Amino acid sequence: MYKVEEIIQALGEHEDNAAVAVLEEVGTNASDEYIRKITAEALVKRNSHDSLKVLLINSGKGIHDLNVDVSSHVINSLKSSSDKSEMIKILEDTISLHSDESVKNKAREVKELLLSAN
Amino acid sequence: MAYFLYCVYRSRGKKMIKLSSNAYETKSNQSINSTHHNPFSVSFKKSLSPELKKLNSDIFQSQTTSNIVNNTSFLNKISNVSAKIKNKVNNISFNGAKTTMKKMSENTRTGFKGIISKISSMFKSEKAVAVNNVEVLKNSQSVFELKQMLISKIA
Repeated sequence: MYKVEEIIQALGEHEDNAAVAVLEEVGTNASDEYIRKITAEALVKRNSHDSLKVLLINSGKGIHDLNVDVSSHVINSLKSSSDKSEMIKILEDTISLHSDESVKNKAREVKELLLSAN
Repeated sequence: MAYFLYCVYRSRGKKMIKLSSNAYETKSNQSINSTHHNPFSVSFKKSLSPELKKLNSDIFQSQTTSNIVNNTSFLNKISNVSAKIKNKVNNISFNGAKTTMKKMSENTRTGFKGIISKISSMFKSEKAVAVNNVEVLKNSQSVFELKQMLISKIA
């Protein structure tokens, strides 16, 4: 019997990129904050454009999660990533192009945190 | 009176730690000179009994060692029980019994440390198993199959 952590991690490392959509659909929408946290960790670890986008640009998910505990956890995961180039690029695009002002503000804040963590 | 023993057993893939009262009581009977009456054996045991029962119950409900190791409040409970035993020892007036109780209290604290260390090493080996499971899952299951598994887990 496999644990939920193992399944989520396997999705995060799966060679099929469709795994990202599953993590977004099932993981980031879970009512359990623990599931949302470990889903975010898997998406950060995957560190692809598609996986990071899920956490950075969607209102109510990832860094914009309404639960402060979850959003802080996501930000910490991003900070601890060794390669931040793609996430910073996405954040910059979000700051310039996103229609939601609160998403833009948060993106700005997180970008500063990531740059200072480098 | 300190009388904790622990044994580890596996049951249907679940690892549980069982605390039971046993050997120290036997040891104390051997250690205490027959001329020294230990006045605390029955009343102390009675006072500690509910806490021991709760500890046992918490352990059995923990399902995995990671729940135990990561459970700060549970570890605090163990520490509290150990402190109560130590406190009891310090209040014993009979010198012979006090020395014996001190030794047993140290053994108990050592015993508890042994429990935590055992749990930690079990947790580490569980982690090794988890890494292997992730490899198996990602290489043998399709995304659709993993999705179904995930949904069934969190439903």
